[in-house]
Amino acid sequence: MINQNGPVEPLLSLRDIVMRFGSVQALRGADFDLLPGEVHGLLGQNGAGKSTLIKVIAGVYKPTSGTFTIDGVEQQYSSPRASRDAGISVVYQSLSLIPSLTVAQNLFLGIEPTTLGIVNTRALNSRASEFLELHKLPLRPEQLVSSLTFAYRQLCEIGKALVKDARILILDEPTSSLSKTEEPILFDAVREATAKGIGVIYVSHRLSEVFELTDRVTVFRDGNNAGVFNTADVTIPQLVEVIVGEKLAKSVSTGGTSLSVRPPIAADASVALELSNISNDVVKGVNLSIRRGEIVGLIGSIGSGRTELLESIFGVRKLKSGTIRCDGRDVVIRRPQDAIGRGIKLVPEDRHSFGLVVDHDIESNTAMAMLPLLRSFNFLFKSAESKAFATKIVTDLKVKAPSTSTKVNKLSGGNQQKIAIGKWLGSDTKVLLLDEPTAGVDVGARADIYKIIIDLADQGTAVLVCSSDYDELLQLCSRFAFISDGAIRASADRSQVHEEKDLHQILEASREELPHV
Amino acid sequence: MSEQYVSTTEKASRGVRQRLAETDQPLFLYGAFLLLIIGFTVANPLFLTAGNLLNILNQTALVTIMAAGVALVIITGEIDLSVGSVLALSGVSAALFMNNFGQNWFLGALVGILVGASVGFINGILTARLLIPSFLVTLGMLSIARGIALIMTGTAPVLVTNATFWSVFAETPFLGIPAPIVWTIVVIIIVWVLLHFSVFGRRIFATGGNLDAAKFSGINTRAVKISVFLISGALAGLAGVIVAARGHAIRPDAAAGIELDVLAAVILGGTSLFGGKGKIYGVILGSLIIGILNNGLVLMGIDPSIQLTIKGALVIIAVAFGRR
Amino acid sequence: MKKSIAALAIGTALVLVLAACSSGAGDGPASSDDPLTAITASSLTPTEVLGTGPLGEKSATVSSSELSAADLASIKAKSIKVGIVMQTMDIEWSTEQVRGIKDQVGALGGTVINVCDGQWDTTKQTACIDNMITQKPDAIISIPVDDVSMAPAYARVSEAGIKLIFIDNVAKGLKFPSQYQGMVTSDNQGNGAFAAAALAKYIPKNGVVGILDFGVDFFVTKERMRGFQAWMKDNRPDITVKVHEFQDPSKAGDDAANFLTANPDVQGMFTEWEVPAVGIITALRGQGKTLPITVVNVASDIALDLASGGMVKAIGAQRPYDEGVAEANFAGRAIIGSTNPSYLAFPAEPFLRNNVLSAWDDVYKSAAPSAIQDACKSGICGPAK
Repeated sequence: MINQNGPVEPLLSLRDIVMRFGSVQALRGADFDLLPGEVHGLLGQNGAGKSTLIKVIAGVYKPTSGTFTIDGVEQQYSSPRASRDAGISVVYQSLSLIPSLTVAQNLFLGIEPTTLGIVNTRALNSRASEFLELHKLPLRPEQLVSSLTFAYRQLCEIGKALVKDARILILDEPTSSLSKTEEPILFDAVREATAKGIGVIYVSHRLSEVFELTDRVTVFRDGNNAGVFNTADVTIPQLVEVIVGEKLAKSVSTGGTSLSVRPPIAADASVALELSNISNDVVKGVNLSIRRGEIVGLIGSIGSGRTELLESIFGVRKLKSGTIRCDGRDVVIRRPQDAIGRGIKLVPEDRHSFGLVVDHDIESNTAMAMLPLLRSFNFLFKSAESKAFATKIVTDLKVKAPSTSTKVNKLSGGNQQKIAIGKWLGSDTKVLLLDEPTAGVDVGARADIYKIIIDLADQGTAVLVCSSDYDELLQLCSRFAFISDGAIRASADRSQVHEEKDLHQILEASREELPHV
Repeated sequence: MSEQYVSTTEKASRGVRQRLAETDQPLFLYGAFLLLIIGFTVANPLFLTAGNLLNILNQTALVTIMAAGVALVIITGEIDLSVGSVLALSGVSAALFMNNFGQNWFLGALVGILVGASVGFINGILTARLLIPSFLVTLGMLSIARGIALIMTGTAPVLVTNATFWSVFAETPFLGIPAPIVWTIVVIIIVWVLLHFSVFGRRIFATGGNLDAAKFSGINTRAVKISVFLISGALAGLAGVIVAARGHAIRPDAAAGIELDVLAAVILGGTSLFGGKGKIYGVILGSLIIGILNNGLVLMGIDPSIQLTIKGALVIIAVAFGRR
Repeated sequence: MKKSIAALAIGTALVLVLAACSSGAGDGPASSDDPLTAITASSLTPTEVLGTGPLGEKSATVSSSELSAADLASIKAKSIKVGIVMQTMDIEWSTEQVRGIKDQVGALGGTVINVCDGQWDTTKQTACIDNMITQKPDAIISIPVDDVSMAPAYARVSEAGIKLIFIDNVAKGLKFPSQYQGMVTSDNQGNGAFAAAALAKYIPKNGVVGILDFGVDFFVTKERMRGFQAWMKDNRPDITVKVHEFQDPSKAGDDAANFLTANPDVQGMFTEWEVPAVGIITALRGQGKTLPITVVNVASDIALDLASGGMVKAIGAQRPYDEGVAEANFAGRAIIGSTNPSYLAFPAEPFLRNNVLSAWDDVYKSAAPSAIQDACKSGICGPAK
């Protein structure tokens, strides 16, 4: 994709950028180049300076010193608007779409085609439809954004950037919530863009997709770049080493090759959770049993009913029929309270919306899920015990936070996720349901979270984990269940599966058996 | 030696700054509070007399009592606009009950508070169960409760002749403190314990902080919402009882428009309209600041139209600073 | 948490200290010898109606509202239809007016087709008038929410061939008798003068009185204020009158408390209607003080205070029921084409403690509530009617 026949003038060039916040130096003389038509991966742990660099490029921060050129012209801007005018478009993790408007209205927000000053809806929709077709974005113009899942909103967000004739597109963790089947759609959109000479900066924690998509990668560590590589010339282990620093590298397991395979659970281990033919509006006759200490991976694309299955077990969604047995006894679960009372806990995919109160401190969040246990005289709150529990979680789960009274929104994604899991650990956890447990979590914290999950399983908790990151499932699970259209279509033991590709194949095969309606 | 000294002071100062940055406490309120007191004292020495300060506490008693309840509602992310009308309906019910069923002061007060609690319960059911926005529910209830009070009384005041009732809720001081202020203190202590020291308080904060996360954590958010509306109604009921005792009568149009003062006190006190944040002593300070403003501006002899303008402007300024 | 405990503790301590300090503070002038005990109420009212009509005219006599036998017969023959448009229905004064009109229209063999509540809102009252016109009554009896902005709506009444009788206030620019056919009100100035005369009995030479004045340009309250101030100026020029304006009647008590704190020299209070009067009583009770209060407009709460020897010493009352009867008669007369006086003001109905029961009956046409009668047991309130 890169013109190999001569030196290409960089589209964007940053030299010796220093960014100070008071006494903290977030960037210490960082360099970065982006060529036209390339996908450039930006890697690094949380706090390495990636976000700061992106905010400098986006005009949110004005660097303390250093030079910054676009097409060789030095830029002095310090407002997001000036950055947009220079052709830079950022797709942040937190989405900027207006949910109550349609896809077309969002795409052309502020630049709608008008007739006599009134928005011409027909022209708007037909333009949007042409545009979506051109960029192969699987969206319909008249869909309301609020009706889209997280993944499709992301696509819409990218579309919005492309509409504005962006020359530099910055994607910040774009796949953190996409399933494997949606990733190619995103990747196609990115390749489509680069073919037109757009430079793409691609920030991700998922090394496998970085390898699949990027031409070059720049690794950041401690506010400086630790290296620039042609993607073709490096391996995942080499990159991990650069990302975390040499010493740590050995203890972080990543990539499909260096995995220890989790052994199958003994057949005589008792069944912790047994679903018999449970059904409701989404889930259709699911049978599944998980033994104590077993970690089962639930694999399915977005819309397959995977999240809904977890929610149905947890009592967020009502069951129409079927029974749930926990520890060999039939249980009736109508509300989350019932599930929690039985030791069934859910860590939801969207921790900001469903898992945590991010405006509150760590202690409030860890207390929230176990209030009945923190009650004295049936009324008063046991403040000291709650603090002690929060402290224990922070220590045990290696949460990086100044204190338990730190607000959760001040923590990194990985540490937030540790709290979202940790809040359940105050009472006996028989079944742990995990939905995308490492979305938006950096490499270091990811390893910690895997360890937490494995430790819990080793103590006898049955775990059902749903993830689009198949690497992750291969590391954690001893068995897999494949879900599509609300039903379990296939299952496989870890021993039958060797690499990610196998999981894809089983999923695809199981879907093909579906009758086409 | 000196190096160590420098580093520890730096650490200490950073600690304070960090704490200031992270705190939810309405620090600006203390400032505004002091500034007002100093300003008004300079303008009129009568301001800082025991008699006048007691005046202010007496005047703010009703607003503080209702603000304590409304604060709970707002912390859960809902709103209660009906308290002024509930006050009137409760007071009227208490008075009519006593006049028709044997002049028992205790039963009269109980009926007043129960009527308030029932209206609050209905507000809660409509909001939490039928999922009608509380703004609409309580706006409607504002008219309904007032209308019922007018119908029950035929627009005439209802007389209260029970001397014990006057005495308990308005006239006999306890330890030298006028009864309405005693009731305010009792309410504040109860709500304070409820909000900051009880499990229920945690549920209130969690429900308002993130309704879905609270549900996903096993909190019965509907029950929490219904409870706070019920408490808010009951406290408005108590306020109605106090008004009836103070005036030896209650008018069906009593306390019309007081909900605006109540809301101003709650918001001024640093309670977030989006829910999940709030402190009881912020509510007290908010209520006192409004009371001090009313009192101080009158003491300065400022034209009432200008007073209104100044009050409105100060509320906006205070809230703007409070948001940080 | 520690901080909030400390704050609460300090607050509580502050309250205790304040309370202790204040317990000795100001008792008002002693009221053991009540100067009004032996006074006949009517001796304090003006001999004739003080207020003048919209054209500066003097009031007709009350007897002018009584119908002649011939008029009565022709009205009865017509079975008149009357509509009522009020400014509010939330106050007792309005319900009494409407009660008087309905009773008398019924006695005249007619019907009240509708009562519409303007809810203090010119838009709503305009809608009331227009809806009433479409229902084609023979006459409309109405009190304007606002005499300027309501004028165009009232002008449409005569255009539709409907007679119009005003209560209390005439819409600006409307012509008598082509556009309206009579106006009935109370002598608000006379009531103010009575309240001044009664209050003056409690004020020593060179004393100070306070007025809690509604700070909104409202015709009726301004008239009462005018009557009070004119009486003081003419008869007790030695008294200093301090005026405090308030705007929100529901908070008049707070205003009173603050005013009395700022002006500890005040020896008596006047206010323009019963709602702020209740506010003053509450405020004074809260401060542990007593002051003589006089007021215009009667209601059971202040009448009870008066009867039981409380702070209210005199009430200059209106007679809304009788006014309603007069308005109904005016409407009937206008419908049959007879002429009404352009302006009729009912003289002040004075309440002192010694005539509460009979005056109550004059105003309400029924015996006083049992609570008031209980307070009057020793015969101190004079005979009932």
